[in-house]
Amino acid sequence: MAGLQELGFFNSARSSGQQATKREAGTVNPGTGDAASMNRHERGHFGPGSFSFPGFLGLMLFLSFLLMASFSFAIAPCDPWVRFQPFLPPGWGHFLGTNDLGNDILSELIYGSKVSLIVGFGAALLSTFLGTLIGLLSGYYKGLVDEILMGITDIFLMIPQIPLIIVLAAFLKPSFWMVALLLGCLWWTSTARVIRSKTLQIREMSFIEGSRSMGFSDLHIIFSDVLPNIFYVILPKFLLAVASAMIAEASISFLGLGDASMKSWGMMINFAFTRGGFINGYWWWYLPPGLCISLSVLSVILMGFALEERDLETERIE
Amino acid sequence: MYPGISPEKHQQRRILKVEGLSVSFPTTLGSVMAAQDISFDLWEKEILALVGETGCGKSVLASAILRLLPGNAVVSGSVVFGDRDLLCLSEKDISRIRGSQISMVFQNPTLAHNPLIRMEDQIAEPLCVHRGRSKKSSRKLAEKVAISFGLEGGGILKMYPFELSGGMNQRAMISTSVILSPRIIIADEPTKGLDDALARQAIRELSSIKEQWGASLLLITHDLSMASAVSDRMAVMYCGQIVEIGLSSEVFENPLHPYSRALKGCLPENGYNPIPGSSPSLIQPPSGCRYHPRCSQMTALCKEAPPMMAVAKSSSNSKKIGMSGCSDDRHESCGRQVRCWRC
Amino acid sequence: MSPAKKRLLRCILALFLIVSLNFIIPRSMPGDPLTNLLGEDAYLTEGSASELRSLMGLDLPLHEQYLAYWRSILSFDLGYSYHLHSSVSSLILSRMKWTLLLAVPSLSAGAIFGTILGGLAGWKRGCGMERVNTAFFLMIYCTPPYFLSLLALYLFSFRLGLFPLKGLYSTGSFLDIAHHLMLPILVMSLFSVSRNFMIMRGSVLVERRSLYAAYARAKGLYGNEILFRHCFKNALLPIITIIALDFGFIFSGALFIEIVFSMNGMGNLIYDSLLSRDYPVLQGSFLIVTIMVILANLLADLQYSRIDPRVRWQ
Repeated sequence: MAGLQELGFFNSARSSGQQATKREAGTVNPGTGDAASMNRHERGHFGPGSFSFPGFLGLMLFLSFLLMASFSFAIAPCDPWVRFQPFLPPGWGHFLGTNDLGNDILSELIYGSKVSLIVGFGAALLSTFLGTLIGLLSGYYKGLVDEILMGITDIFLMIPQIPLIIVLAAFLKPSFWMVALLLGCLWWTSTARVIRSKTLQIREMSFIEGSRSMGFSDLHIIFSDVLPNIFYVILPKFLLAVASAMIAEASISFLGLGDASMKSWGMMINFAFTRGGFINGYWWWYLPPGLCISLSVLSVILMGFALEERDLETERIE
Repeated sequence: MYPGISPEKHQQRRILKVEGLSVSFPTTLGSVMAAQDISFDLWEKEILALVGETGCGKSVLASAILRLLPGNAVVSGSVVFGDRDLLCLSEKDISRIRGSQISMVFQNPTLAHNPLIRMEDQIAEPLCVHRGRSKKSSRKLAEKVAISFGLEGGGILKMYPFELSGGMNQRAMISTSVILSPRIIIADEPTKGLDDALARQAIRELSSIKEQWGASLLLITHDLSMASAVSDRMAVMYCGQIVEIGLSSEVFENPLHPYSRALKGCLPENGYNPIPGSSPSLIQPPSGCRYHPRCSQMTALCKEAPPMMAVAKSSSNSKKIGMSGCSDDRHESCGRQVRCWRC
Repeated sequence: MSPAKKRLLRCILALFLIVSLNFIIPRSMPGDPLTNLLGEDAYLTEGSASELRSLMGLDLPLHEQYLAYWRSILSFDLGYSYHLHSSVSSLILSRMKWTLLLAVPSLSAGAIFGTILGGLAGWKRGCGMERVNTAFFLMIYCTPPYFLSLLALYLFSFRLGLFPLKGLYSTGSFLDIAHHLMLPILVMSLFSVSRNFMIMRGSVLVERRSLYAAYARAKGLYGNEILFRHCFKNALLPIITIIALDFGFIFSGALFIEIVFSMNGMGNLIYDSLLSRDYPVLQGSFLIVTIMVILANLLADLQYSRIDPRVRWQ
């Protein structure tokens, strides 16, 4: 039964036999139709071209956030820690006004993109690495290894992550590296499940059997035959993990548990909320960071979405 | 016109006319020409077998007739059923024909049934959908039909597809397809995935449909000997085209197209001679005759110009009459036809 | 071992792990375990500190402490909050009902509307209305629930004055509570619909490509008939568990929504205990929330085996 349930956001592939044949059938196989051509080089998944409009939009949005984060020192009009006159409404001197301490909100906003992206990508890298490794081993070796690894995954899956992080963060008063580490250690489960079910399918294909009969070691087969063929699942999964981690980071800093030495969007909203910005109607204080969170998450999700949709585009032919 | 058979009668007897049917799928690597310029007629109460190797486009053809292809398929040509072109009907209108007038038997019975619904309800479903009958009353008829195909006892009908064997699922599927007595049944590789004894059983059941239910059968298969044993007429497909069509006995005994001959040579009783080369890509099919790279009798002409379907020179006139008569202007379209420069 | 038993075993293991984690965290984190256990609000003299230390068994060997901890958990004793001067279990009990009042209707609405709308969106992918739906729910999906609440509060209460600004009730009558709860429930429902929508949409996108859906079409089913007669149930199946697993995330969303709407539920309890570093309350709440999530998962499994004959027969 563990095999029947799958945590995936948009397109969850299951490990039942039904799914396995569908995958094979769903692949446009222009060549001779023998199993060898199922190998990585003939999959047209990552060719340029059919990237849909939403995907393109996501990419552009994401690139602008990336630019904002990497060159924040150059783009930001002033140092976000310098104090001007507090509670200034948006105007010529300060495009988005100032907060209660007189910090320029636009500059805060631009610097805030750093934490969001670093935590998002750091956590997602770690979780994708862990998830892929566990999924590959579990799916390839099956049997006892699978039972144990998937048991652990199931248990981790059931623990509500955000409350756990809140508890840990309350004791630890963490830096943003720590937040990324915590998120990464808790978020690998869904990736592991999807990778496992894909691995279960791939390992039954004849080119893997071929590699095995040629005497290649298991590790060699896993990393040079199986892994390239599930890469198209890993990438969207990775992007979704980035999005989840970004939302989680924003939530944690909204509770005031983030890294106080860094500007972050969640914390800006928290200050606006707790220090009267909301009650007094200073919309420029909390609206921009909130929109930034939504847009950055959206940009990442749109990219992941586009990748998965493209996989779905290759419909059944024969 | 042929002696003894009036044209009007022929007109009545033809129930499906496929003409110039082409199907292609746009992909990132180019357009896949799954079927090209397919024309054939299906007559009342006959079994027409469509034979070809995997990937030659025969299943696509079957789906194209009922418009079951995925949305990205580009279909042209015409499929005339009764007096209507199926390709021009609205989705709503064709859905009324599907299952009631033309039904289909899929190639993978275990996966084609919904895993979460009891067998009896799945067999009875066409009754509910097309006749608006209640679940209860349609179940009774479903049971009757299922019993006639040997599905009885042990509460089989109350079971779920995963609890039944492949053969039982196949029989359930055949029961579903005949329950509304359709005029045409399209069977897409009905023996795929079944072992030899079960395959024979399935074939026996399918051919009994013709007599018992009065339906025509379009049988799609890769098994040449099975096709010749069951069918009245046979069409051989290669790389998205029909290369030879004629009476089964004639095509099987005396294949004219080099590919048909090669297929026959592949049979175990004929020495199991594999066809040299591999099946061509449907994206960039060979120029000229599509079979020329593998053909032993290839000439310069074969490389350059694609041959058309033509009445076979060597087929005798007397045999041509047999089962299939000709209706109107084109005498050629009914007898033995071959797509080869040399025949 | 049957899958159901295996599942149960995993739930029990998860529970065991969480309780153990709750035991380990205050004892392994930097700082004095006594402070970590009592909260930073409890000011103690030297003498009373050592007295409390022995009273709480902190001078005992760890394994004995661990057993004692289990004993207290099993008797529903989650400690004492020196900040709020009340036992943690009674605090949680009194706050939980408000959270449930918010979460239960929203989660039900989310499950029903999310799956139906998501199913339709997956089925009719690319059609105009469904595109708008998908874009709308995608936006909500990408917005943290607290920001969504802030926006709703600003728009409907602040600008339009349709709903009260904060709190659960002013007079305590049913209508008054409903009026106060309306906006939070709406936001929470939107949030929960958006998550289920996306999951269901993806699941239907997979199911509609399946062979049985094609066969249903070949049988003469038309349009949405195929979705509701065939694909819906099948698409729901894999995501029952996903929805249950997502329950933890959605439930945390409820906590944030409560904070913004200043409702007196679990969310604010956790938030206040965070601000005052009231560790016993924090840990007790975490334990209870986790238990609820695990129970929801067990329930989902039961539901799953009711729908799927394949599981029933194993």
